[in-house]
Amino acid sequence: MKRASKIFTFLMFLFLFAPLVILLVFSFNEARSLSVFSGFSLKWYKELFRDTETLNTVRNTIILAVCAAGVSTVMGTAAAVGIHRMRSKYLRSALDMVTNIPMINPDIITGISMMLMFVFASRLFGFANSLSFITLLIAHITFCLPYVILQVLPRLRQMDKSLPEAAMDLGCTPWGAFWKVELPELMPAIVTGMIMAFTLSLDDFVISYFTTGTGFQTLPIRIYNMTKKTVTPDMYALATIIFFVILALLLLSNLTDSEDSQRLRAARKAKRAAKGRPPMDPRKQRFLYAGGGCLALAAVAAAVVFAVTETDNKPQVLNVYNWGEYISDGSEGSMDVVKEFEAWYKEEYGRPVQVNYTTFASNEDMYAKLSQGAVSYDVIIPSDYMIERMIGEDMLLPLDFDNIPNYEHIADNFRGLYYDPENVYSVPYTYSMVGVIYNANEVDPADAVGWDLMWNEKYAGRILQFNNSRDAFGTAMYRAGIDVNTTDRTQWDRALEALLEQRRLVKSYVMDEVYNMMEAGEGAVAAYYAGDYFTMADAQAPSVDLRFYYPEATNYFVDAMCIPSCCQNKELAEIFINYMLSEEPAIANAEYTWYASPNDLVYTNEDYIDEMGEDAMDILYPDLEGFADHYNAYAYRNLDGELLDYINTLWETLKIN
Amino acid sequence: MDKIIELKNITKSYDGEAVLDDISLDIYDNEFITLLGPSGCGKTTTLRLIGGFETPDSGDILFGGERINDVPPHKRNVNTVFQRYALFPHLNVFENVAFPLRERKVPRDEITERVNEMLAMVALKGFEHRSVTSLSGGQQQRVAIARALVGKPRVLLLDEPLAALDLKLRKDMQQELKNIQKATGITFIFVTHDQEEALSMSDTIVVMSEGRIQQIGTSQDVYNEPKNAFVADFIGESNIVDGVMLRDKLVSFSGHTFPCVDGGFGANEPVDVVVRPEDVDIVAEDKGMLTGVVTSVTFMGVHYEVIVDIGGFKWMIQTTDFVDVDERIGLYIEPDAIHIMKKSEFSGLYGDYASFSNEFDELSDAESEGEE
Repeated sequence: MKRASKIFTFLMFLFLFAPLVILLVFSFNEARSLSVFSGFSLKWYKELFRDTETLNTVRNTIILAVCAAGVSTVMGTAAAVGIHRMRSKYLRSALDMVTNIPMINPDIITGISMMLMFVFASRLFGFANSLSFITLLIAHITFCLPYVILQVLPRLRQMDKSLPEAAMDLGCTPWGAFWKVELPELMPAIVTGMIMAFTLSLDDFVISYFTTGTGFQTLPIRIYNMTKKTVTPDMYALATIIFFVILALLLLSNLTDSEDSQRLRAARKAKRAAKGRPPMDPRKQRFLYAGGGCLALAAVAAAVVFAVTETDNKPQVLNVYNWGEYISDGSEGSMDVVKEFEAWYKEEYGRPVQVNYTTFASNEDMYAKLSQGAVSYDVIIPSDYMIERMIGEDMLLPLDFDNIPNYEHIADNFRGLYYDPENVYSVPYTYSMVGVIYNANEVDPADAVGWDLMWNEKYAGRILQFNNSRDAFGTAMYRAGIDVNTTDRTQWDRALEALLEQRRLVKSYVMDEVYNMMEAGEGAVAAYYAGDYFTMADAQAPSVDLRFYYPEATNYFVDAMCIPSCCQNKELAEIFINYMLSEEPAIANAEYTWYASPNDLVYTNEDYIDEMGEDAMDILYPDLEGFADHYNAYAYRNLDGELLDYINTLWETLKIN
Repeated sequence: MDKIIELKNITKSYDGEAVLDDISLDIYDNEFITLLGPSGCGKTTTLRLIGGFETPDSGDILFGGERINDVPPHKRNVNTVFQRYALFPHLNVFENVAFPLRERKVPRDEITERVNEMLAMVALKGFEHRSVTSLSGGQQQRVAIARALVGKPRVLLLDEPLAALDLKLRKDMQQELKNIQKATGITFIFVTHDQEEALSMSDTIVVMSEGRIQQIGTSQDVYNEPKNAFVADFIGESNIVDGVMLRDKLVSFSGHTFPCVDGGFGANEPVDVVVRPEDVDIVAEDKGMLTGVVTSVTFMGVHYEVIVDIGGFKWMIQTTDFVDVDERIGLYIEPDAIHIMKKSEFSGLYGDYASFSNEFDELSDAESEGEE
């Protein structure tokens, strides 16, 4: 029995801390891989401190957390005192419950309802931008408040009711009694509440996601949006640092617990006495506390002023909304395109411009955010099918190509594509195709032809298939020569047959896990985008040799720069798009993202070709003869909802069987 | 002696329930006055009115002749020792005692001097830098007293200050409080539900019940000459029986006529008769003025507590003589042991030991302590 409980305890700690230990270890990994530890290195920490975008979001997050914690602590304490002093028992318990509701309310509901309220309120008062730093702050204060109250209220109830009376009896005014007696008594609870509020605000994602406006991105949102590629290891470094900071805060809050602090004070006193100094005059002590408090308040105030002036004082603002890790950001010695644009613009036009760069994780997220109408962006970079949909819904503005002379560098192959046949709304940014990745140490190169490799009995149990209906069906349909956009349901049934047949060969159905599994050699065959293949090959284990090829028919994607109809400064947006097409930034972006560029300034540039290497160029830029036809024939398009439902039912049959 | 506090026709009610019903009371300088009564009798409310934590619904509170109904607590020259001491946990012993002086911006040297003096008086020298939470109940009590006295108030209010202490410590503190009161010459207004405590400490006892004052007097007055059945029962043990005053100095009860020392009642007026258990002598059955059967005998240490059934009414007798259960005995009562009271609203409610049990008594005591 004793042993069993020991084992349980051990297991519990293992479950709790194993992930943290792994995070910590891999933050010091030399290589990018999560499967192989190739040597101790502080590389990612250095990388982190060079990543200005991330540091910016860290700063944002901390400003937000400090403000939210500060305000909610003051308000929460006041509210707790108010509730406590209420005469009516019923009112008191009712209020108790009401304050608890937001705590048990799912974040998602809080987030959505707050967003709705802000949008509604701003429509009511006629503000253009309903979401901003202030709304985010209000949302954070709102969800932090109950936690502060929950800390302070029980402490108040425990407190001897006659304490404030005693203080008044001894000459204090009611206010004096509160400051000199009640507040010091509540302090430990207040501090704990504040630290809770701080950490809650620090790591909140869901509510922030719904209530943040343009240009103010917090760290959790940034990390979430990195999922277009994998989360970069400098995030492990950041997570490690955050973990230790929070740990330190926690220890600190435990020290403020009355008993411990008394022991600490006693120890300090003993130390002073040992040095022959008199015990500190309590008034001096009070001065110290008051001083500390003032400093903290001043810091908060400064932070707020800083944050507000940062976002409001500059006349020109450009809001860019892009995928995470989809622009060269100055890391690993690359060009910081956003910074350079700001500098270039000032040089060129003599006026400063501030780019608020925000990221999204999927086309659908971006679409949702824009269609709420709660935010305004000037430049967005969605994918092809989403562009088609947004044009259909009047969500994009026609571009004035006089302001985008660099458009001439876009190859002819990328004009007249189905989503924007007249070339009115979009400027292609990157493209890529799905190919098959295999481990040459395991797969016979002779088998590496077409989609058949994914149905090859020889590699049973070594094949990774997409865990997403459209992509998985795509592999089967390309293989069988079926149109991937067909509305004929019997064709989809046929594709399902093929997938069912493939099922027993499949090791697992994967999305982002594909990176680690292929890098570590856990799977031998998988289909993915060419750009992502390089990420995997870069981090592959020594025993793994990843290769890549395109089957005849395959999926393409094109991401293009567009201007949404909520744009506030169209000309500036066009200038930015034009800048993105100019040689230096275009090359920097292509090198950073590892996707192919449709810009001839890039793919004909000698330095770029050298930098990428011949093999990579072959893969990234296959023969583009008849690209447009190919693309228009094979790329996924929007399907109508009924068909999508049908496909999902088929997909579920596959996953359940 | 001068009046220092006067309560004039005070009434107070919470949520429509009267807590104080027309209370009038004079408190004199230098006196140790005790408000005594069961829980819910209004004694603590009276104290809080004087302290300034409550305001009366009607009536006046005068302090040194001036009306202070609306003066807030911090402006009254009155300090309180709270039931659970209400020491400030974040301050050490010295700072707790120095608190009222710092509030009044007394110079620092004087603060040190006066606090040390106070701590010496309550025998807590050397405890200056101890945390108040590390002190025993008795020590905390002394800190609370020192803190309340350091500002030299004219009146000290004590709200059941000894209730949380154990018996031995309580006796010591009673003595000590009495000494402090004599030494400082400050008026003490003491609230308690413990009649022994009240009897041993007070110059004046105010017996309260159901929001009204039942009797004001010295310890001897309220014990020997209770005004009604409530006071007789609450203070000490009493056998209270219905009687008829035949004429002055002759009373009839329990089927027998007794000579007594009281007078001034109408002829044949129904009265309450009080006989203290210790004033009844046990004699042989044939020599007794009354006879009865012993129903229970309890050994109490100093004496036996004997319950005797006399014609259906149970008497309590405290005696050093041993008698057996079921024994028939005679009782003899001296004339000056018989106290006659006018009939009151309390008549018939008290004084019969039919349902008496020690356990029950303790139970109700514990409850009343918990409530206030």
